[in-house]
Amino acid sequence: MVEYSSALTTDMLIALAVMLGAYVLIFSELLHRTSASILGAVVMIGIGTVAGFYSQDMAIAAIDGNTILLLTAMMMVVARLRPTGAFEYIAIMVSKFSRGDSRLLLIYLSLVVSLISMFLDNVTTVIIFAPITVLIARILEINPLPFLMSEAMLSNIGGAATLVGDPPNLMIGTAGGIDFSRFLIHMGPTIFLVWVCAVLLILFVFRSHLIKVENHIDLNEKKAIRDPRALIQACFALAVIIVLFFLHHHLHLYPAYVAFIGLCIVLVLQRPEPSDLFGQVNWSVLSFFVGLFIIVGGVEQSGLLHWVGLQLVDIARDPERLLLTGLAVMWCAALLSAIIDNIPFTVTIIPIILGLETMGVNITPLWWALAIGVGLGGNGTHIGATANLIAIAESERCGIKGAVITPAGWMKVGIPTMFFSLMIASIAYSLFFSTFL
Amino acid sequence: MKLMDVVVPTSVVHPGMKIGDAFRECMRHGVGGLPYCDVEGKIIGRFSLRHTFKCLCVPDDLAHHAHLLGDRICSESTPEVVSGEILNMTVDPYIIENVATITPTSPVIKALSIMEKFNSTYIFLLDEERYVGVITRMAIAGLLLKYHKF
Repeated sequence: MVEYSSALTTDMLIALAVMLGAYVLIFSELLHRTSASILGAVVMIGIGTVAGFYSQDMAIAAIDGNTILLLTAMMMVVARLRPTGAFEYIAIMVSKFSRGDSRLLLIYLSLVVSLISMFLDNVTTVIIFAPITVLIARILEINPLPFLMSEAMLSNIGGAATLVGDPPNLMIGTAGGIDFSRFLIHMGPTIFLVWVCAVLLILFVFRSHLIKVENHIDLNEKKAIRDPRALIQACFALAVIIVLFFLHHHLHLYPAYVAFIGLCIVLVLQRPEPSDLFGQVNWSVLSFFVGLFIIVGGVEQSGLLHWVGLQLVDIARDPERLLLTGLAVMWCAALLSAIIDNIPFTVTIIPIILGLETMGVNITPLWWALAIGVGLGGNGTHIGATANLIAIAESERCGIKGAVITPAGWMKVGIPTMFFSLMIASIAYSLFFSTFL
Repeated sequence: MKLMDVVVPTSVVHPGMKIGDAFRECMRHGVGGLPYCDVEGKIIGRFSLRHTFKCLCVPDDLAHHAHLLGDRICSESTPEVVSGEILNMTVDPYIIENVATITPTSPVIKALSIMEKFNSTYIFLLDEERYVGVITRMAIAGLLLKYHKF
């Protein structure tokens, strides 16, 4: 077992400097975040090797393979599902169900996006739904702004409900040994409550925009499905993946392996060209994650994260104050996720929480608090989550008067939504704290 | 086969010119675009029918989901088009900077290759920096038919 120092050492300060340098580059956008992450990883390995606290083997071991491989496989499955037109079909159908009532339209679209975000990457979900939402709004002659904002926010909330809904959840689940079913049982009810309250708040905030319109949604949903056979095949693969997610713990399967089983079904049934398939994977995002894992791995090996844990352990170890610690983790995670990317924050705090466990702290409730915090915090600002940026980009591109979402405009809705969501989640977390233990 | 045999001489588009006048010139000669010249007559861009329509009335969400559109789609989302207001607007905000050009001595296959690369149905013919006219794919097809007496 590795012995870490209880006092700050030179190695810790060196690792901290490298990490902070990389994070400054990431958040300031002086360099693309993936480039900054790779640069930080290379520097961490180099300096760590020279200083003696890190090595290339340790760096490779620090990479969370389950997260990277699951994301890779799911990106490929979505890449085969997307061209079938299924998402456009769903968007048109729910829009027609709303029968011109903008409030119902907002609820239905947000519900669909949230449900899809529970199983598929919410960034991809918003990328697909945003343009069709703008088109529907254009046809109905209503402002798409409320719909774009609510889709982004509620996809963030929906994604927080499951193990695979958001990359931070994957990392938390892997670190905490939490399986898909357990994650859903613990997070599902709270997130459902938050979702309902968030929708009500958004309906209230945008009440003047959400009018009943007479225009007919002149879109033909039958023409949306471009390849029915491919759709059936992809849906079958996705169904197998979802069923196996529920069973993976009992079958002793990693979630990443489950995702690859589904991918194999797609590969056998559809036989896609490798260039088509691999070209759809967002290698930039995956490389970003790998770089972060290596950077934080170096910080962890220096002993700094263990030192941070030592500063917190006295409070966290006290069972009487565990609830307070959990709430503190939740709110800190949320506030930091609103300001900076939630991925680097999650990657950094996981080893700290794991370190607390070695010091006798019951960390189980802290995992749930962290997952809630990083999931809900992303709604606070326009940069809190990538889905927010997608919605903003679409609002700027559409050219509809009054549709542009400005950073200030986002925060006017996002900050109340974030605080309200966190309050609801905090109340649920406190009232049912025993279930989170 | 020489490109000079099929070049379509046209006038050029100037800063401040109305879109309606540019449309008329395109229609008169059956071309999809015209060069955009500064006060000194130097080509600094091009006016494109496709690009102008795209900017004015075919947003990305509409184009991407065109196959889903019904026949009753309301045109009132682009009232400027319906009312003809766009004809009185100036061309300047809709000019494209990249300009594909070719010289009279260039082979036909080069003209076709450049049009393919620029995803355009036309290319401007310049003779020692002097604008001569427009070469279109249609014209090249006509040239082939004429050349081989088909």
